[in-house]
Amino acid sequence: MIKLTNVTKTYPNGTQALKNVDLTINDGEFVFIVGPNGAGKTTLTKLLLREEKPTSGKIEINGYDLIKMKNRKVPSLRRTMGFVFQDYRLFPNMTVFENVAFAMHVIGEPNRIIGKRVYKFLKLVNLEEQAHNYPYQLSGGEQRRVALARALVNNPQIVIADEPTSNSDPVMAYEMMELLKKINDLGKTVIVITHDIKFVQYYDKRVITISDGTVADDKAGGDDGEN
Amino acid sequence: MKIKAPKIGYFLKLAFNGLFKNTVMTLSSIFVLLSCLVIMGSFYLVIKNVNYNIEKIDGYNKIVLFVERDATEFEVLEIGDKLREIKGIESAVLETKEEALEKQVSQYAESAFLFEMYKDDNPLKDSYIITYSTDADVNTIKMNIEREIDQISKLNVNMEVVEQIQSIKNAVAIIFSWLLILLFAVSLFVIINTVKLSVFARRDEIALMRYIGATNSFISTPFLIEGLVIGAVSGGLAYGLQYLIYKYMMLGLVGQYEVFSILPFAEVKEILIIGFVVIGIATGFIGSLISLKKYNQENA
Repeated sequence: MIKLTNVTKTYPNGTQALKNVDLTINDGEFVFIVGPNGAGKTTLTKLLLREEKPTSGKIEINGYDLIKMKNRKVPSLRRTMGFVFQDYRLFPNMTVFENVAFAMHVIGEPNRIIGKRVYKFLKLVNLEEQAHNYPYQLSGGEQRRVALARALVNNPQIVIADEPTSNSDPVMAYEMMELLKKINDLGKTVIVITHDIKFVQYYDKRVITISDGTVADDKAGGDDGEN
Repeated sequence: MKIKAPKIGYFLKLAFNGLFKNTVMTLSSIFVLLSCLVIMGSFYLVIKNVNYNIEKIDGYNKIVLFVERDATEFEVLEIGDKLREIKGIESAVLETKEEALEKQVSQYAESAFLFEMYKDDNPLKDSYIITYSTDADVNTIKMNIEREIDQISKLNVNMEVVEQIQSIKNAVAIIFSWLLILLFAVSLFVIINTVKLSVFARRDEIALMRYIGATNSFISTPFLIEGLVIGAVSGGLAYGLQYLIYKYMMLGLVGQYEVFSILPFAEVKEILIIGFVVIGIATGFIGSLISLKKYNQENA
């Protein structure tokens, strides 16, 4: 579960990126976070990843108190989350297989488990044939799917995808959204940060609108019930 | 989430990947460390050769012990045995008073008749020519001789020469120690900066590792291994280069002048290879460690 209580973030230059934000995302939810550029979405993501600390307020994720936690505990928190970056951020000198396997090496999994699990997730994102290719040999959509496989391979409780449909053709974008929905159906919390309103409308899930550093709107999805 | 034991094989793979993918950084680190090591090694060899030549100065490491005239032949021999047992003494050669007289006679052959009268009543004394190790302290040896041997008539130590040579050796040792510290500091500084550049060049990669949940030690270990490898390779190469420099510069060029004796390379090869590899590894490792610690603190 993600719980933000009265969270404010002011940067040293005086910019107030988030103002008294209260937000709860329950386990297993599918949430869209929308809002114009500069609204505070990036800051929110940074706070969730504990890349930044809020100026005031309280953040709890999967049982971790992000304000009180020591820096050395941050890796443990991040291992409970899978993050898909807008620009994919794959290691250019590693193959598709190695990129996904890297996340498992980080947590010290043995090689025999890594081999099996990586292929399972490459199959899920339909990239098993490309396992030994390097990122530069893949299309943008394929690279994003590698990033998704890497985010999922350690079985995180929460998956956060930043603009998962940008720079993709409509078919690729739809496939990506379907994958995220499938992951949500498996019980994972999925948070999609997007500008792509047509997908937001199509999937009819909970939509949190961030505007000018505040939660301007929080609309429950048609198939979610009340939040 | 439980953090499992890291796998050294994977770290080695990452480290060697890093070394080969960042060839410019790797080669520049090796080049800098190699240069510093060879400069250190060259100073060491010059100093070793200076000492080697100094020690060859006649009478430098010799003490002459004159035995009291009333000592019996057996007692004289016993003194020899006692001397040889003293720590630091390499040899003790007996020169009997008869031999000493003969030496005088042959030395002053033209006036040999003057010594005729002493043949039956030799005024000279039996003596021991003691050679001690050049590393030993002459004062300690002198003290030990005086403590162990009773029938000493006179102990001749050329203190003036010994003290002069000792002060030269001390000065050379101090200069060398400072140079060593300075060069080590320079190497360390350069390695710290090279690793810093290398870490900076890979900062996106490191940031990504952090997002995935990598701990500082997971991120740092491959860099530390890289530092170790760079250090060991530089040490090995420095030894090879030093050998060639010594062979062609010292033995080939300086060795042509008969004034100088050149220390054979075989006598220093062990200390050089150990020194180079140990200093190389230490510099590589400590340099990487300092650099990474700083980076991790700044980007925690």
